Amino acid sequence: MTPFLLTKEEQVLTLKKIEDLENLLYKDPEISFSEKIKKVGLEELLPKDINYLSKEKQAEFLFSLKENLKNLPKVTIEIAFDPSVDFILKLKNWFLENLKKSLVLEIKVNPKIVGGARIYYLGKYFDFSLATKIEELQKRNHG
Amino acid sequence: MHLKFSKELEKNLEEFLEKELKKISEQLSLNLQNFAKEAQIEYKKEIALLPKKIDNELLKIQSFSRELQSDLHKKSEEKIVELTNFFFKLKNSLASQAQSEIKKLAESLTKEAVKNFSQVLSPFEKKLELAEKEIEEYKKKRMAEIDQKVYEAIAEVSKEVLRKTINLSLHEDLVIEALERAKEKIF
Repeated sequence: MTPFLLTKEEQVLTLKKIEDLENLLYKDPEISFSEKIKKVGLEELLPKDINYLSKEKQAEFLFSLKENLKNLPKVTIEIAFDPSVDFILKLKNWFLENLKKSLVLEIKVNPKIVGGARIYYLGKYFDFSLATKIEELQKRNHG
Repeated sequence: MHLKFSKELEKNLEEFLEKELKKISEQLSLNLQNFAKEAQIEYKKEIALLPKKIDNELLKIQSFSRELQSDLHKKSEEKIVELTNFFFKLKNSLASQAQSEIKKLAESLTKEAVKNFSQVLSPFEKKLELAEKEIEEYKKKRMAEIDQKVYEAIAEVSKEVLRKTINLSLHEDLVIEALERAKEKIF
């Protein structure tokens, strides 16, 4: 499977969509499953052959997908400014190119870090914020 | 015959003796008179000379008295000087002794006083020392706190200035740079 990257918001939204689809699965039998997929907006995420599976298998698939999404490794990046959509895309691309694995990207905005970033990933932490740099300089000069 | 002779001799002898005695008596009387006369003359002479002698004697006595007075005066002066010197020496010696005793006493008292004073002051000195130490530590602490606050203020100002200075493009570059740096360390 090709690695993909969702933002935290996209992950929440996607999970919501999957749940909505699960709810629609046994409702309105006259509406096809592919139409229901379009309705919740998951056509890009779900494979086309899911339409040919039984309702039970579709339910199993959605449940499994939901669990996989919930358990995706998460990388949190703390930055000092509100990122533009372009920059979020740039970040996604950076992670996909450099990590080559599926991830959830959580972006936290904290102006107190001044600039740069603080990164949290699988219990590891890397601080390259300007605030910390300034404090380190201050301690070095003071101490 | 013999007896007759004796009587005559005896008579003659008596007569002779009477005569002789008379002569002697007369001579004695004469001599006595002469002596009395001479004595009277001598006495008168002596009496006449007596005032002069008395004057002489008086002069001698006066002279002696003056000498004696002078001598006594001299001796008195010497004695006075001697006594004065003695008293001065005694006074100096006593003063010196007294001074020495006073010095010893003063030293002893000073030592005792210092000891007592130290004993009395000792707890206060310790408290004072402690208080000074605490003040010094407090000062250091306060100064460190002030320094810390100053540096914190500088840091905050720096942060604020940077926040206003950094544009969006630079922000984005810094984030990508942070990711590049973090790549080898945590990913």
